[in-house]
Amino acid sequence: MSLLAADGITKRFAGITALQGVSIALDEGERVGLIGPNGAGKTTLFNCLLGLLRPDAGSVSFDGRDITRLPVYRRARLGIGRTFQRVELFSGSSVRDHLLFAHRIRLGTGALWKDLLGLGLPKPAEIERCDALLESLGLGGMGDEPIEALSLGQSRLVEVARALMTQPRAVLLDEPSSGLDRAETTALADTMARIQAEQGFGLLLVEHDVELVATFTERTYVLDFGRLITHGPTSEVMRDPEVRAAYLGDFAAGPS
Amino acid sequence: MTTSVLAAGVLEETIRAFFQGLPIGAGFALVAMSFVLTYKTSGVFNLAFGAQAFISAAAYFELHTRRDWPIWSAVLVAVLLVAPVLGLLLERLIFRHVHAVSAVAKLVISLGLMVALPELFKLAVDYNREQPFGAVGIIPDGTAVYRLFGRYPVTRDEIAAFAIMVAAALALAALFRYSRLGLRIRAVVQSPRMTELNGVNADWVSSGSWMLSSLFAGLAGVLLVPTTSSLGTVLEPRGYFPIVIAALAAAALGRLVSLPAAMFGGLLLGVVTTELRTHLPRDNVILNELRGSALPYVMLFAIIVFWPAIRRQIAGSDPLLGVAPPPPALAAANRSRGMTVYTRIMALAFFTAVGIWTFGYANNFWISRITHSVIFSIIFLSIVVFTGLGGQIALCQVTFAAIGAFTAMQFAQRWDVSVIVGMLAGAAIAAAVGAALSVPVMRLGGIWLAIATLAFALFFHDVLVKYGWVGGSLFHGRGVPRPQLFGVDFSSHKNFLVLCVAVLVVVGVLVILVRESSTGMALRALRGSETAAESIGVVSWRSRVIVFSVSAAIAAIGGGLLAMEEKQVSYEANYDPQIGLFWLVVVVVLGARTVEGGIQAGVAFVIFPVLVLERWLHLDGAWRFVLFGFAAISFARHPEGLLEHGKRRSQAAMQRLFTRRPPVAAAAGAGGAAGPGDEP
Amino acid sequence: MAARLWKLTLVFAALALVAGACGNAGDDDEGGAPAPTAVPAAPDEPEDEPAPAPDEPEEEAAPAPDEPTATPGEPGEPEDEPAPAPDEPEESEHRHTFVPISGVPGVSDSEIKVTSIVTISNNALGTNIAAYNDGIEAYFDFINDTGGIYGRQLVLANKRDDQLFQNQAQALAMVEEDDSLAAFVATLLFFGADTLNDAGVPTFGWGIHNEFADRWNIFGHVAPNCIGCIHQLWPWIASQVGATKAGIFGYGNSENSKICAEGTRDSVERYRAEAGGMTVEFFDTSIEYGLSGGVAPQVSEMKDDGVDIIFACLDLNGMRTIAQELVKQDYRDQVVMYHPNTYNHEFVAANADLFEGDLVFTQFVPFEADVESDLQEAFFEYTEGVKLEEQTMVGWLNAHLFYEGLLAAGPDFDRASLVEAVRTFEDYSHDGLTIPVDWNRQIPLPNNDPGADYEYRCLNGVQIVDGAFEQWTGEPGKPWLCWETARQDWHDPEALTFVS
Repeated sequence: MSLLAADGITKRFAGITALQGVSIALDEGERVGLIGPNGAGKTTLFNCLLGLLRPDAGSVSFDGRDITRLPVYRRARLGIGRTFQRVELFSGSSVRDHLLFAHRIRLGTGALWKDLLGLGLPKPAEIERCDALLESLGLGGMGDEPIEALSLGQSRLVEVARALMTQPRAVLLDEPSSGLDRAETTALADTMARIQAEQGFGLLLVEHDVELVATFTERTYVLDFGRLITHGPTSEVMRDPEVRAAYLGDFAAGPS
Repeated sequence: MTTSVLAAGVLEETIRAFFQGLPIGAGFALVAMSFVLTYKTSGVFNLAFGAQAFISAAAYFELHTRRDWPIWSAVLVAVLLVAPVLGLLLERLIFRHVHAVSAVAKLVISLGLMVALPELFKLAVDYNREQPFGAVGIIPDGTAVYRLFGRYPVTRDEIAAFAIMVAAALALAALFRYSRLGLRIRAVVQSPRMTELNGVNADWVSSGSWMLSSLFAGLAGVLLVPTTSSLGTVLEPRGYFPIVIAALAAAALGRLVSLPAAMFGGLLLGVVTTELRTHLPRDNVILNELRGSALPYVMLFAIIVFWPAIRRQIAGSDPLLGVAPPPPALAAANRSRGMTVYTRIMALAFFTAVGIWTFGYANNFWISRITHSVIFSIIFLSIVVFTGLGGQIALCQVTFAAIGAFTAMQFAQRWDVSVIVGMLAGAAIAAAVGAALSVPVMRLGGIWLAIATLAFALFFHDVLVKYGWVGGSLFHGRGVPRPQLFGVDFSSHKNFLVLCVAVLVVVGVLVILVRESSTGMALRALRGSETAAESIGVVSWRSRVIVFSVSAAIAAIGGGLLAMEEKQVSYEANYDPQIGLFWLVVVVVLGARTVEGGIQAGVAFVIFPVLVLERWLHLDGAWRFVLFGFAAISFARHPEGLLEHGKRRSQAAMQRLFTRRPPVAAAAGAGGAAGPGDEP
Repeated sequence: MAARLWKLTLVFAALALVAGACGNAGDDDEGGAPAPTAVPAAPDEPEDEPAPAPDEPEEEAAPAPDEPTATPGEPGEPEDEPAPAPDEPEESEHRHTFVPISGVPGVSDSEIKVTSIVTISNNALGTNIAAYNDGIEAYFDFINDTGGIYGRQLVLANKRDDQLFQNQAQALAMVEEDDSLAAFVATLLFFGADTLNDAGVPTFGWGIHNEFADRWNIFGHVAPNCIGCIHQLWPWIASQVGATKAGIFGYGNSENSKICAEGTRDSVERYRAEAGGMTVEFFDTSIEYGLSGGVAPQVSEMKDDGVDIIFACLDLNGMRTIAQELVKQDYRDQVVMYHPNTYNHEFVAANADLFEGDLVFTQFVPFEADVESDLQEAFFEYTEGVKLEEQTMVGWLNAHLFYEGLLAAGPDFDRASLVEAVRTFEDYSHDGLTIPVDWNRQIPLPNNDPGADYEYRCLNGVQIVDGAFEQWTGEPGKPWLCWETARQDWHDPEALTFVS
């Protein structure tokens, strides 16, 4: 039984079929890629997994439980973390606040009456915990920085850290390489790989940077026109002539 | 036999009501289309519409009625000259520079203009030198009556208004569909930059569209005078308010973007009004309310909450649902230790001085003014919570304050229970009402939330207050005693001031605690990115309910104290929804994000008009509306508020001066780093 | 969990403790009426008049007031002579006695200063309430021209603007500045009443609010009315114009207006038989102030029901809207409208066609009435060149009561003795311009309690003819029509005058 699984997902928008019977699965501790050209339905699938969209047919399950109808925040509380293609941070908050808050949510310790009695202020232990994670992501000492002061790469790391503070069992990364140059992408991937190895969560990477997927993931799904055209170990998928012909033409002719 | 006669009678009544409703609906439609026109062409939800309409109508009145100009020349100047020039000025001086800001910021600006423009006009032409009495319409012999189908009477004024409305609708439709200007306006609205790259002068088009919409407002302004009774005799800006509310409902039917929907919506609402008044039974209390003043507010609220088009619009990519401007850092977060100490010493010295003066030398008038300042500071903290922390705009804080005041009154009058208990009960009731209100408006954001809450406030104002179990009786007096607590009698002005200060301190500390704790973090997260917040498990509806409740409770506490201070519920003086609009303007101008900002707004609201305007400058009190109203424009550039902005700048200067160290970039914020003590 | 419960318990315990310690400050309000001290000072009025203290109808619609403008009936001609106008009632022998006074606010050796608080700016009603100040100043001129009082001039030194509903703050400021002997108030609502009353400030005002009841130091131009009481005057009016089917309006969002409409309805129903089989055909208290949606359906309904008289507890703007709709539906000719608040010459002149034949009621002898009142003559003389409004007369009447109170208090007066003096006036009618008030007795709000009400209930009204007013009630020299309050049976009113 997979940790996170989509089974036969179909989604239509105003008559256009964005996904047609797509099934994917993610296990704990593994790194899985999801690739496809623009408009292939990657984001739609991603949103169905997270609860931002509700599929017209098919189901999503997490740890054996059907979560197809659960709202976003309930899925988050079950242990699904994510990052965003366009960075979505909480403007007006410091880096540490992002982590602190995610931590509170995870523990469910926030309550209005506590706040009113002065019990809701950040505690030293919580701050320490946040700073430790920042340290391990290479953001040591940046806890007090306003997020507006960060570079894009750092912002993505903050997103990752925020997701990790909720102690997720599955992490979904949405095009983490967009906007980053090759060196930054590599650094981000290295950090992610290390943390993932340490914590053992399942990681789903949605990318169009095929090179990143090739080096980073163990298994890969390929979407095109809303259908799953192939999947398997990444190295095999990358060699699949159909994939190369139908989709990776650009890639083959491109920088690699 | 009898039934068929009866049915014929009902049918006849229905037809009659239809023709009676059309002229009313034409007025709504005209205003609704103006709304849509402004919104379509500028992205501004222009609550200042009534102000623009008023200025043209008042200019016409001034010229024709008071200065005996012929009608045609007065119309020429008031509608064809004054209105477009006003539109041009608004665009050139204000809205051009805020094109990119959120819809909420634009709403605040238009609220400010709504308050400021009529007052400025009145001061400029000395409009109040005598009462604006006896305005007449622009149609000669406008009250002449014609009969449709030989039996349904209409006046020439009504025919003219209807015809002009239809003509305007057709002209607008043609303009947008066929003319180059119309196409350009549409293009510019979608993307000014892109259009400019294509060689269209976006500036010019934008000015043109503002002049057009202002012309429309001016036209509506003069046309409505004879057909609207409250305008026909006393030409005052508030006379436009009920029409604007009804027109808003019509415009909402078309999501503010569809001209045909606005037109038919306006006509429909007019007909619905007269049909209901014809057919609803009088013996049912609730239905009887719908015959009267409740109707427009109920319609507006219901349309916003239930109209599928609006729900879809909000669910989809909604240009209205502008994300509130990213709140920059609080100055306190960035200052050095030395500055902090310095600031605190100065604050301490200031408050000590004010305290010594107040308790040693001030007379009861000034003590009462200071008490009012303290109480309004408390009330304004509810706006700090809702707008400053929650990042949204509600226009019903005034209602929650009234709930607090009335509850204290009811407890004391009916059961002789302490007003303090009554006030706390009022806070609880307000919190419950706030929570209940937050449910239907949950998914609304930005301006829709603002309008829905305004509709609620007006409903309370015009419907609920008159029930004895809510508003008591003006007839028999709305007296409220001063409290006694632990044997201390707060009858004296000074004792009561001490009590109010204590409450302010408690509420202020609580607000800071909330802001710096989990609740505040959740609100900041939701404000920063709702999607991201939900992705880590934030339950957005829960935070919304909390922010509504907390802010309502705070307003109610302030309202209760105000009633005690004045020893009565001066409802009409303090809790009118239109006053609530001005509250919001004052608070966002001075600083909605900090407790300090709320307090400064409270002081400014009460003391500034008396001390600065009247005593020092000997100016008309109406200048406060003009000054604060125009200051609302600054909200676009300094959403943190003018005082916070000034503080940050002076602090940067001071730090350069004293520490020779570049100030920390003041661009963005780490509110979480600011300790509670940093903000009084 | 247990910890949470414990904390909650703690919070509730604390709340309970606080609640237990809370109370309301005692009913200290010394504002009310102290025991009526019947000091027989110098009652100005004769007192022997057969007609005792009646009252008049007049219910206030919500935002009530109204005001006239056009120059009314021609006053006394004198004019050229500056000083000795028709002298004020009974030259008291000590009127010009100067006694040095110290410590009385607003009183110097040369002047007696007063303050007015008037709704001037933001007046939603559109009527010119500011004319109230003109009336006060005219009266002060009148007194000062004949040497003032106690060797001092009367001065309206401070004109405060209520700015719509801000009169409590204005009242407090006035009290604290302590530079005025008395306050004169004409506002759309009277939130400052207790502030003035508690501070012991003699206060005279436009007595349309209930705050003019139950407050020892506050006097209206008439004593508080019984709004909502059952009385035969409405059915009687209908019977006079031959109407039997009443339509009644009140604003739903104004309590006074609603109570007034209900009182009218109950009155018609109580005396329906006596008034020739009169019925209430139409009753609506759901209409909204401003009437932005018009009243077309209501007027159609009245037309269907054959209504022939409309009693509307509305302001003058509301009356205009109804009249316009009546005209539009071609029904205006068949119905008479009763106006409680439309005594406004400019307004009526501008809407002559709308109101032809309608009846308008006033709380004082209208300018058009033919009475032998010296005070009215002086009024016309001293307001020459001023646009007259209802409030001009109210200011004049208030100033007159103030002056006579001063005279009764004696040359060594202060605030308290001024009020005491006025409270001794038992039959006070402003030289016949209002119905007589017993200022000693008529303090409380008269809710169907004959002891608190006027002895007579009187009507003074005009009819609108060609855009002007003509006296409608009474007979020449006797403008009032009065019913005995104690008699509940249907009886014809008596024409009276209260001029001494």
